[in-house]
Amino acid sequence: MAERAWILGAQRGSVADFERLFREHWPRAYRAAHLVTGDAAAAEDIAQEAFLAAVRNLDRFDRRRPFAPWLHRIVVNRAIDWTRARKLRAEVELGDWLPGAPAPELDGSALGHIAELAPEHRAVIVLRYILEYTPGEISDLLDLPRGTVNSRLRRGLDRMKEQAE
Amino acid sequence: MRDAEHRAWEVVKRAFDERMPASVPRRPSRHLVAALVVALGAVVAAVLSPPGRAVFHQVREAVGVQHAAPALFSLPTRGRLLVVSAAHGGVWLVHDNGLKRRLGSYDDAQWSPHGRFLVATNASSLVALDPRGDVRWSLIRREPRSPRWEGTLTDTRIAYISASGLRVVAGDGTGDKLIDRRAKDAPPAWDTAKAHTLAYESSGTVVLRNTDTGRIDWRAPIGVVPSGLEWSDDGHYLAVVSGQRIVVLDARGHVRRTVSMLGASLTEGAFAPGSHRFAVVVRSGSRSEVRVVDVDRPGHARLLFAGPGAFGDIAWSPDARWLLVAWPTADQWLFLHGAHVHAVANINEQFPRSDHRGPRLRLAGRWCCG
Repeated sequence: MAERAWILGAQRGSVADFERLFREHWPRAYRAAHLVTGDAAAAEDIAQEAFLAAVRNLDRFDRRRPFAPWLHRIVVNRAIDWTRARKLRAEVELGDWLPGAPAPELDGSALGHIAELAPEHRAVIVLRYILEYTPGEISDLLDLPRGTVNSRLRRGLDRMKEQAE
Repeated sequence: MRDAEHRAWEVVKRAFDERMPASVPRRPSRHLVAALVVALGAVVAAVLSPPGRAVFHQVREAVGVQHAAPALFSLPTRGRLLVVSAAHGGVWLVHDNGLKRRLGSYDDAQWSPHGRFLVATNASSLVALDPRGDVRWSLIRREPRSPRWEGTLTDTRIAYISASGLRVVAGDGTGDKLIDRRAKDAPPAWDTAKAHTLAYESSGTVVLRNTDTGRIDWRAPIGVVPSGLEWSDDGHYLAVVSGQRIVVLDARGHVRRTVSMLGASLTEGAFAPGSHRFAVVVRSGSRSEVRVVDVDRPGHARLLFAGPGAFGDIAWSPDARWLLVAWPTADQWLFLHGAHVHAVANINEQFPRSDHRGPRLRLAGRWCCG
């Protein structure tokens, strides 16, 4: 209920309500982006961009719907795009001298292997086990068939288990 | 993470602060309707807002500012203006006393950093000219466009886009090289604070790169194809204009502000010389506006002028006192200075195209050297 009130307040121009919304959702948005990209700076940009999208679409946002899935959909999709683009750049622009991305600071031994996964697998693992969405909700968030979500979860977990052994 | 949260909140709060409300069409009052009938009028609302107080400037039958000068007799301040008739091969040089010279059949042209030379393009050449139109050198390239020249009096570079991608050549026409084959859309922009350092868009990312060494300073993922990149004079800010919003990056590539307006397109943008004031053209439905935001002071965007139809390019005078706004719908140019508007009519006749259709004139960044 509080979230609906914050959204309504933000739509009416209340910075305080918008800040409550931001403070409530920033940590998980940033963490999700960090886990998918493995890059702190990119995670900051992606989470920030998701909130900027929220500002842009605030007036059209349906207050009856929860805010988090809408935000996480943007975060995870952009994080996947960023990760794919970085892989592509690494292959075609060997002459670039961009400083290396800092290593992700992950907690938990299993999560430490998440960086080895393909971006698509990282995304579903983060959504399922960090943000705690159900496979059905992940299916909606990423516009994927439920079976694809399940298979990506399975493969992602298997791969992480292999690396842990 | 707390630092990241703090930085992000600063940016997001600024965006929230400067959110513009969606335009709400207003029903005209009875008095205004009467005025329009008396004046046989359609409307031009020249809304001049020092501190925001709108003044209806002109009402007349045709779209445009009444009592506009019939021709461009002079520029309102010192400087020289390049006028490019896009895709129809005409470049004119207009002096502040009104003297106008057609430089030749080129598709685009820009000044050198100190206004001593120009770089122009046609379908197959990049050409360096002097202000008389005499060719100093030329380089055969496929479909060169969007040339941008930077540097000191003795050491300059020209960036341009060709069919092969983004390229850079020295100001004397030597050392032409490919910088990025995927950068083919938005015109590049030289960093005004760092020598030979270029911002450009490549695959949805803004890249800042030293074109001599190849070193990349930073990349900023933006996820859209920008229509323009604009540095502030001091190199503190880079504005990325991308249709639905303008993203202002700082010198490290971090987002500092965004400017957007629900339901509207942001079609043009330009920093005023020597300041962090940024003029932006907003198109919403059948109406256009010119607003100015101060990147250092989040808050309301100041409305300079509004009118029906489309506004085109904008260009600041070198002394930053005047903003030139092309208004193709009205066949006029507007020179805006605070509450003062100086309008010039019959632009099509003065910069004609061979097919006699109205020109799409490029002016942005081409008012030089007061």
